[in-house]
Amino acid sequence: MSRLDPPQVLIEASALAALADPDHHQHTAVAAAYRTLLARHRRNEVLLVAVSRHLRPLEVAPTDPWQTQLRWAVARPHRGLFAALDPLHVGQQHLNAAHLMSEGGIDRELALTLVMCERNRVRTVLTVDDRLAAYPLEVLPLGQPAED
Amino acid sequence: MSTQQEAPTFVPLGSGRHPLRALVPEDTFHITRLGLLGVYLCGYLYWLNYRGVPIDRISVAISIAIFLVCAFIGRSLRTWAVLLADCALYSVMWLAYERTRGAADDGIHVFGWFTIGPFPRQLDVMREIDRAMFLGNDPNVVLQDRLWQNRVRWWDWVASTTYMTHFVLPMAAMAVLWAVSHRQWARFIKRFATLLLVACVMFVLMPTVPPWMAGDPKYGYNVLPQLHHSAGRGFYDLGFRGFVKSYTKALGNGNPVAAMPSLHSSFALIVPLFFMQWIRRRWVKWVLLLFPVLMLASLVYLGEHWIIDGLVGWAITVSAFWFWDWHEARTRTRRVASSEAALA
Repeated sequence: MSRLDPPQVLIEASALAALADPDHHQHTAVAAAYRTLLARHRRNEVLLVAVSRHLRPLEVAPTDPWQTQLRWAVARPHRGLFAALDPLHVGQQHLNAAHLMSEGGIDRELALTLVMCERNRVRTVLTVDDRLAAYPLEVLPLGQPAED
Repeated sequence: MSTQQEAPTFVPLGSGRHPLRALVPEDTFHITRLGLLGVYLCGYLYWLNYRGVPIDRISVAISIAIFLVCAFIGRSLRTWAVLLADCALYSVMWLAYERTRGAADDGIHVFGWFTIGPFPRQLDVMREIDRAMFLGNDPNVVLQDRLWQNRVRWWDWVASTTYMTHFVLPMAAMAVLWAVSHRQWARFIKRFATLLLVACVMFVLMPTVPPWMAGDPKYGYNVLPQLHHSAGRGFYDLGFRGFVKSYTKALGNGNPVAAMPSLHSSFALIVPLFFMQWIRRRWVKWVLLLFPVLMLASLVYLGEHWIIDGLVGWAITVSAFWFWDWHEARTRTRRVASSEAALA
């Protein structure tokens, strides 16, 4: 991911969960934001990405056959709700960096998200996790949930 | 409800916030990679000065491999695995190119069962097309009559240098894209491989005699007056002795009747055309597009190609871009449609 590519928007773990669960209290708001991002992606204005460790459990179950698991890792099929997303693959060095940050008191998964954003030049996130607003990232605003 | 449908906008960063880089532990290999790339650049320039530009496939592959090791050191195992897979595909692409390029003379032997070709050599058609475009004149002959002198002139430096960039420019572009953005490298290589594939098919189906061969009494065509055939003399005059020496050796293994289409012209167009999307100023784009024109003029002056070879090379390049631009847009649309359908 570089300056040659369109800007990337990270669909953060909490937003992925809200999208995947129609009963989630933020589902409608996140879905509206996601639709807008999809339209921008169709016009090649943004790339949509997600941390592989957060995306994988939503697409491949641990009980799935090993061929399915391997296929996801090698050549992920772009189908379903997250078809437009590209995974940011997590390496050991990312985990090490997240571990160092977590020793400073930051939640480990949140730290991993921050590491992946920094290493892949992601500056914009779609999230329902309020904690990310405290970090120097552009957090896409959501509408109020319908039930509120 | 209305607020839910509002389009998300990108919120500007707060002025009082620290950049993310200050929060995340630094990639310790970043400085190492930059240092190694600096050393590589110095080594390459040293080699360029004392031994010449590496141009044969093996030397180029070695120089790219060293560059990639410098650029990828300390990256994740998955990144290395992807890089190795890329390298394998890249090598297969060049191997297929070399094999089919050389098949124009003997035809293609399919598992020893049967042979496709060799097909008849093309000469008169290309010459007649060139003559039709230039009012009955042979552009190669006219340019050499007007410009070629026993003494090497400045235009020989320009023509020869432009000609030689063919062996460096696309590979350098690929190597840089490889290191900077795998996504853009994949986009480039798809267009490049398509171009090579079409060119290889054409080399086999219509082996074309180049102008210098058409005028060389040794080959007996005697269609043109004998042309000077020394594409490297301008470079030789500039002091790149190793370069020209290597090139002569490389040419000895090549297929001399692979004039149609001109890969020199195609490669000279594919690089500026690809990088043009990031250039905003229109005049810079036009200046960049002068490079393939200069390449074709050089090829004609040096007797390497007919004009129609270059025009067909450009047409294939533009078609490859058109096809892959369309395919990429269609892929994005399909994926978005799949996401939207699941969301509904």
